[in-house]
Amino acid sequence: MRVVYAILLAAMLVGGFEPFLLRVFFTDRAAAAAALTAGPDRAFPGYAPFVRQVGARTPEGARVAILVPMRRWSGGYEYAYYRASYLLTSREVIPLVEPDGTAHLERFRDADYVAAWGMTPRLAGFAPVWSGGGGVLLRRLE
Amino acid sequence: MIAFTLAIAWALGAAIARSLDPQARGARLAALAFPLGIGACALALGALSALGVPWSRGSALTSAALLLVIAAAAATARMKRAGRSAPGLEPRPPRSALAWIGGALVAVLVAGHALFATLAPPGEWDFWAIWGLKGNAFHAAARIDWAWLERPANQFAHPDYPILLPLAYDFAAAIEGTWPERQLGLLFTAFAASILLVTASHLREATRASLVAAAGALALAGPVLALPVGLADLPLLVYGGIALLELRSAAIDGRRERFAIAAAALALAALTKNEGIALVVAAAAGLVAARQWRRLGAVAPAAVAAASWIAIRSAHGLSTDLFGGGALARLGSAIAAPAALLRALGETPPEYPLFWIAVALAVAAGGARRIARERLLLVAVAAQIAFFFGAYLVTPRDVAWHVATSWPRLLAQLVVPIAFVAILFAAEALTKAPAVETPDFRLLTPDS
Repeated sequence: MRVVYAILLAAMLVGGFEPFLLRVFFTDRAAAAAALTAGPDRAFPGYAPFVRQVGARTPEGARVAILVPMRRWSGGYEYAYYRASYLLTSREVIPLVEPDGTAHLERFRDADYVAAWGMTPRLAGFAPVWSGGGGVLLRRLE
Repeated sequence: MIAFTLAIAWALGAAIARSLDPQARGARLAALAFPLGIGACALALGALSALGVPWSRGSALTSAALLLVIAAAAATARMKRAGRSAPGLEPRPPRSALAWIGGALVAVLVAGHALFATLAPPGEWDFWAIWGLKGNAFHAAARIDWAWLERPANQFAHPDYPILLPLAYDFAAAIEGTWPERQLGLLFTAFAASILLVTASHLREATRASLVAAAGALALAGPVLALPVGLADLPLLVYGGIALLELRSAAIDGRRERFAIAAAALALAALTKNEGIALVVAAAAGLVAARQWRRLGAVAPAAVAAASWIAIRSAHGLSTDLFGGGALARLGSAIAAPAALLRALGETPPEYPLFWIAVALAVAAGGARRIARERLLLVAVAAQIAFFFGAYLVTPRDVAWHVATSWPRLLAQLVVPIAFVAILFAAEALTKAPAVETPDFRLLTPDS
């Protein structure tokens, strides 16, 4: 049994070894940091910076509807909505698509702003207040 | 820098650990301090919110200082009493050169984790859609924002999950005066370092061999340090690991102080993640299996903590989707046709498969006597795995997706107790350690 356990202990040590914990000392940390920072948004580059800009141009408590070209929930809308919820702290983010795939365009009524990325919509009752980052921010007309 | 937050948590945790166990010192004290301390800091913010006191650097510092004074006073009183009655600690075993090298390697790996964890903000989906999202929302509101949790549009953030981790983020944010997104990774480095030290401390105690302790910490370093930064799995692993290892040791030496540490860690586990609530029952099952009937009280604080959270979330209408409409029907059909679950499990191997195979074989090769001796840990682990399977059987989601996105993380939550047993068995076989022959090893007999 001593031999068996010696092999098993060695297998635990080898099998549990995680090389990236050593590689990180020798890697290009600036490049790794850039890659890791971009990681969550890799599928839709540009969206997160756009939403951050929206955050800088909307007041706390504002209700912001998210309009993106990805209409299917699991095809990108889920990401767009969740990501905006995190990045737009202190704002109420309004989804226009539900997990079952149904669109809820009537929710424009509840929005103070519409953050439209990857498209330039014309919406009755809203006017553009800023464009950039691949999108446009619309504000409800008084 | 988040270093100040870490220092506050560590100081508070050290005082709490000494107040619970006056004999806690050295590596064990250092290891217990951070998890207990950051848990207390998080709960302090929860208390401030309940009292209607907005979070700020001042209120967070004041509440932590108040807790520190109370814990330090309790620790001083306990140490005075313990000084009169407690037996002295056994001398530490000498450390071999190999043990020092092993320990240094672990330290290097932990330092690597600190570097990696702070390269970028936590990037896991579940950080910015659940744990970090809640922390950020609470930070913006300077309180636990129940209205935010109750909002139907935020259902995706699992408002029913316990909120200790978001509150820990908020304590750091209150101290730093901003949302310290990128620095939050250091909390996870501290958590990981703590559990590696705790495990090493228990292995050294069980085998009297520093080399075994270092080897155990080294073997566990990868599976522990590679857990996702920003998610609650690592904190739960730490609290659960501390609780189970302290329960095991307490069952052997009968020290009530160890049960107190276990009780505190288990309560914090219950407030960290839903699996932590299940772990309370699993730990109780382990105690029953080890015939530690009178020690079941050790899980009482955790049971109260879990029940409190469940009551609070019910009062706010925060339901869990797992047991939503038709759970019994889903359970029935999943049991009748388990192929989908079994196929999903077969297609989702754990991270570090060689490590896990070796661990499983080492436990299995331990023999009936050793396995029976370690039944507290093994039954607790088995019960927790049964809970995982139960969740898969009632899941309203696609079971293949659910298993693929959670099974490796769930299994990793149990790596400490199961690997501890495996390494202990290996050490006993390799060094002829005396654990089995120890005459007062109370796990062998009922404590009544």
